[in-house]
Amino acid sequence: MTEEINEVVPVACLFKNGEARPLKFLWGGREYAVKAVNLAYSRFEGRSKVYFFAVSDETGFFKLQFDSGSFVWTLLEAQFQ
Amino acid sequence: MPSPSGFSTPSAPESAFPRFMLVDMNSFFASVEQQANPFYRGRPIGVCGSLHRGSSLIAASKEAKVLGIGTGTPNWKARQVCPDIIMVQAEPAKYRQVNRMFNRILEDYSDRIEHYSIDESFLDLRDSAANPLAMAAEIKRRIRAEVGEYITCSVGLGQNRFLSKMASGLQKPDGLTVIWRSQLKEVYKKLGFRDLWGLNRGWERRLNQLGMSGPADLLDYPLANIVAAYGKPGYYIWNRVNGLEVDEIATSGQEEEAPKSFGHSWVLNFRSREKLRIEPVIMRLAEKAARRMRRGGFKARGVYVTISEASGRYHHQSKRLQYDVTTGTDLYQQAKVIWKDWEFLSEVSKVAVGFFDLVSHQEQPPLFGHGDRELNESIDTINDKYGEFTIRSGLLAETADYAPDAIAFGK
Repeated sequence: MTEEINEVVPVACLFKNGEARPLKFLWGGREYAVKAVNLAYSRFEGRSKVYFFAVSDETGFFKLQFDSGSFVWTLLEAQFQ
Repeated sequence: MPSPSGFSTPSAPESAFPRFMLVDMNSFFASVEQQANPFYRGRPIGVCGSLHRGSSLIAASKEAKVLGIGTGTPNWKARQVCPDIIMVQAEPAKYRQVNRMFNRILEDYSDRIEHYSIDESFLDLRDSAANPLAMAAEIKRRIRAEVGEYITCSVGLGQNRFLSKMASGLQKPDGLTVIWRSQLKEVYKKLGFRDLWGLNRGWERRLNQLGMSGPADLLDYPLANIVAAYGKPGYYIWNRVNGLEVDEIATSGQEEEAPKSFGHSWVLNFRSREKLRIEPVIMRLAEKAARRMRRGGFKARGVYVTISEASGRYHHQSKRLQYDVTTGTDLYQQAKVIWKDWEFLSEVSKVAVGFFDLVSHQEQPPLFGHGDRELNESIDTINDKYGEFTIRSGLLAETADYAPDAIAFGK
């Protein structure tokens, strides 16, 4: 089952050609290398645009959120095999 | 061939290739969820507006459909049929994003596109010299490559919009179906009137009364006779079924019809008979409806309230007012007047409120003072900037999970 996390996490992200691609992030003292961005989408919260990245590594699924107003990354959800 | 009633029959398109295409995304919301989370792939999942057992699915994955679970199946029943089903709360931003992505691909093939619903778009290819079958195959390949490997669609091609819609439904999921004019009789032999897009039980009865037992009979039926019996609607049905185009593609550039009402409804994520518990729901729905109405530049002279009980009993009343209303508080107060004498014999399961009798909000500034208008404009500005319900009525203090963002599906 998907587990709610809601923790602010450091993320390394490549911004290129008008697109953002999270590469890796740190959570719980471990580094997770993003293998695939399954879906990226966004919505406005007020005038601030919030981006969501549904990503996978070798072991699990993660939902990351980037708030372009505050430049804060949050790990919203995680699921492991 | 002019008909006795003055309707003329559109000439059959000269092109040998069908020139109308419908791209219909398969199990759309569920496929998007499976695209986002690989753990959901290959498993029965249900997407719902609310996870409450009394709510219903707004989409089911292909794997759930095989088990007989589909759109509209109540959550409790889906769990009964398949205890392992994964229930996912709908996330409209995801579906809107994928909708934008696949429509962006379609725009490379035609500038005449009708975004018919969140998961269906019609393409008018009459101005295109390309082979529509090759085009359809390429669109399907690009959607998988550019939107997501788990996102599939069924493409239908036909001589008109109606036939392209029918073709897309013949092979699901991941189909590419052409209905050629020469095949019409063969295709219709397998279908009843009610299998056709837009034909209901009433039309089935009317067509039966003219001696027709199925759509194949319409092909040989004289147009003049059906027009004489059923006028313009009969004319349209005959032409659609015969593969003649009488429906214009409604591209987004065309002027949209003015709205007739603004409302919101919500299947509660709790159950109660107490009005005090339901009042904040009304207030929240009323605020959402009022915000949309003001954004659209309207005010209203009428309001309505509908309350459904779990037993199936429901209460509805609309009310015309002698003055204009623009705010959620106006609607909330009117709702409390309307439902004053209502008694709920079982728990309330659904609430709907809204405005009707709309007039354009180009008001003349009042001579003495502005009342609450400036206050409401300021609140709108703050909520536009910082998000919905940043400034809200005290009644809404504990209602963040009431009536979340929802998405329209179907047509």
